[in-house]
Amino acid sequence: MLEIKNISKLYGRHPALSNLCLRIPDGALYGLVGPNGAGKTTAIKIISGIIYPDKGSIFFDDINLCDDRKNSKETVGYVPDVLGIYDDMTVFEYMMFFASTYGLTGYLARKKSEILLEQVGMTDKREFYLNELSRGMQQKLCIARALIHDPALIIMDEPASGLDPRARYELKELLQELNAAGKMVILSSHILSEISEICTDIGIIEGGKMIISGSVEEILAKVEGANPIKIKVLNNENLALEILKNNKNVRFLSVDNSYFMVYFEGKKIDEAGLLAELIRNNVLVSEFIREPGSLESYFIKVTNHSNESVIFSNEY
Amino acid sequence: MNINPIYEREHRVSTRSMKLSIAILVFNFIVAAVTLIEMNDVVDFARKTSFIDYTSFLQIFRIVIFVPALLLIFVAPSFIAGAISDERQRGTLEILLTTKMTAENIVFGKFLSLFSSIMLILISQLPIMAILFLYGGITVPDIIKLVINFVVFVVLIISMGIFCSSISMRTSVATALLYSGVLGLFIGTLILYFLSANSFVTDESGFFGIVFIRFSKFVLLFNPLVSIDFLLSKIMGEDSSDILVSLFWYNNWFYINMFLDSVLSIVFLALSVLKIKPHGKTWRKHGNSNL
Repeated sequence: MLEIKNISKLYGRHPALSNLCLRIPDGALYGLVGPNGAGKTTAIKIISGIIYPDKGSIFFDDINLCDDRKNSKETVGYVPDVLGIYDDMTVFEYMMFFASTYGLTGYLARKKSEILLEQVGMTDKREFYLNELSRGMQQKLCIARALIHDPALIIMDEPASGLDPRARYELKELLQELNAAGKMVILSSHILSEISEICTDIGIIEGGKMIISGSVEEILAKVEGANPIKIKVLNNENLALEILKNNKNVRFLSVDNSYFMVYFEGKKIDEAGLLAELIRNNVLVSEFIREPGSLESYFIKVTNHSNESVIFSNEY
Repeated sequence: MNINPIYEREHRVSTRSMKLSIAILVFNFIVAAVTLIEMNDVVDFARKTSFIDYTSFLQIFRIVIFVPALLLIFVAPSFIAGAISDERQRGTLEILLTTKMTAENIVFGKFLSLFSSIMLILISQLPIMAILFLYGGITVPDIIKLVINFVVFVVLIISMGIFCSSISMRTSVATALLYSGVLGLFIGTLILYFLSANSFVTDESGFFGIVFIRFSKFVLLFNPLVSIDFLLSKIMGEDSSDILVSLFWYNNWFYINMFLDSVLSIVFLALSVLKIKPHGKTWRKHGNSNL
């Protein structure tokens, strides 16, 4: 498990992170989402050991990633947003070079490089110079490079940016493969759809603080819970309105065309109870739908972008 | 034996590119051309006058020593300035710092690769210089001292370059900084000395004039080219003590200069390490926004 405890980081007077806390369970494929400038990259760099926090600590299992540099370097594999490519090297030389930076040389390094290139499907590109590769290929190579020392934790900053749909799909497959092999993967992005497709867990970060974190299902449930139930009745509208007003789970109510928009806080069984009550009182209900959860709209809501909030209020 | 991975990489890439070969070719061509033209003049003079002036060959030796030194001052910064800033621009510095490479390893690897490339250029010129040894007058201790002086000179340029590169986000900025530093140290100090020597006369100048002259002489102690010139002057039997503060400084100029420049190089390298180190004490307090 990765545990981030009260991490803070100032750049000059500007707080990039303030008391960031986070727990990522074992085997998670975790997506850190946030708008530009939210503190994602700073968080990623601190976990990777590239920059040091002003305050707080990070534990991966029993290893303190901030203080135990030797073990943290063995634990973490890092893929930055700027890929870090040496144009003047071939694919295989690049792998061998990074193997040597971890003290791997000779047969072991060659074997390891060959296995990883095969894993990312680049065996046939081993003699290519890196500037001859597409962005997608370079990304895959960087992932292979980050795996050269067999780290338990892989951290990637904006891995899907600049990739075409096919490369994105391949990246998703590769990350899920790594995750299935027992590696914890943390990646950041400002595009929520990208993350929600790939990840098992998500954290939304804004202004250097963690707004919400959990599994995709948990967050979707929260998102759906926050959406209104859309009810359309065919008769006894006043009676229906009275029933809805008197229900203890109904928080807000509005009318949009011929629909009741009911902000309902309760479990599924309570929703069913409300429907049953309407029917029992001879209200003909033709539609009773909970608006489907949209991570995007929830993301915009929690990251509090004023212009995007306007869209929200229109919706309601 | 574990070879520093950075050194190995740089060495592999530099031997593959044409840059080093062209540098060796250009350096040798210029030094050989200057030597042959000068020697031709001396031989021509001997042929016309039936008089062989052996000190002329030592003068050629001085030229042959200073031409590569000056070439290095003007060419080397463009090779050196990108040492760290290129890695930073490519995004590879961050990656290297997450590997088992320490900031010390990175700086040492860069230093070693640049040192070996520049020394390769200089060593390739030995055959040209060796021609002049045929005429005598240069002893083995003189050669050893000159070699040490040249090594310290090269080490100083590289250390300054790595430092400028470590504090710059972009290679263009690092190059400008390094050229300013190198020209300031190797040529600026000489200009400062000659300006002060010509502006003030020690006996007649006031307190300020004397302090200025002494300061300009002290600054010369950091200039390895002055030390090389003193060594050559001694070889040729010239007396350069007039520009010095006292006989003690004159007699020990070489050792003082070597010591000061070595310390300066170590300071530059140590500062470079501190600048790129993610977990240095300074860094913990103030953060490292350079990465």
